[in-house]
Amino acid sequence: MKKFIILLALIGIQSITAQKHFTRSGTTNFKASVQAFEPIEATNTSSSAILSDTGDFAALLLVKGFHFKIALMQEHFNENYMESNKFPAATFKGRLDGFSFDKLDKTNRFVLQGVLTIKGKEKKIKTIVLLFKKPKKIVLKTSIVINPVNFGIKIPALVRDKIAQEVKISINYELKKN
Amino acid sequence: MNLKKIKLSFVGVGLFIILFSVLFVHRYIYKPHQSIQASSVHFEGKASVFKKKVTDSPKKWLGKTIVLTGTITNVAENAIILDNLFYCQLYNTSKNPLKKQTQITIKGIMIGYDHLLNEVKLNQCIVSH
Repeated sequence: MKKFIILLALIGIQSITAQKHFTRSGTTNFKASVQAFEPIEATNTSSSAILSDTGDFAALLLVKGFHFKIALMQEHFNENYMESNKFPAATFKGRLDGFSFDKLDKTNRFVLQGVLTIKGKEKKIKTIVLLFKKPKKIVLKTSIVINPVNFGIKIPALVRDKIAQEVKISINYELKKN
Repeated sequence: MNLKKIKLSFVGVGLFIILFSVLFVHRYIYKPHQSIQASSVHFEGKASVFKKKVTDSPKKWLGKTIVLTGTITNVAENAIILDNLFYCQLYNTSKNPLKKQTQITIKGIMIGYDHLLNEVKLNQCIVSH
């Protein structure tokens, strides 16, 4: 009987401490527009992300999930620039420095550090993330600027001027408790 | 024939050709997204059967339109999960409330395998009857 109670207690503790917040429908936007040309921007509304209670954060975006207003642009994005049949997902793995759920009552800003992998190429990223505690969820917002060249995304000289050197990626994820 | 008339008719035809080409190129550049209803299907059948196919060779199915019949194991905002494996993001919010444990057939585009959450993701899904 004693063993049983201890086992129950252990299971109880495990389920309380192993809190995770996650989403399957996070919104990720990217913008690479240069003024006076067609806006180059797309939205992915099926981004996945997991945030553990110890601050470990991971995200996965399926490249084919990015929707462009202009169908031809979406086609070029997938076939020529991102080669999404070869590299279907862009991933991020990192940590929020000094994060805990209790800290969310005191502060919204955390530093996120980790590795972003696009087209098989890894790059270290460091950025400030805003976290908002809401009933039954945590809203995570951040944005980063990347250079496509760092990920082996070759932009042909012909369209060089039409695509921005720096691409801004903004995320807005509503992470719900597991 | 009058030289002036010949010149004018050349200009006329030339302008027509230019206009036509511009329209043609414009239609190509701004062609609409292919509607899911019109897309040709690469697989149609039970979700449980497709599970094996997609697990064996996930990349083969990237971007392909598929029709799956399965049980709704979870309902999310604007999406459903079939057979605990296929996350189907709906093209439009469903008019009829979708319930768990019901059978459903959906048509959507396979956009990839999410190894973070261990799910196969589909988008632009419509409920087909």
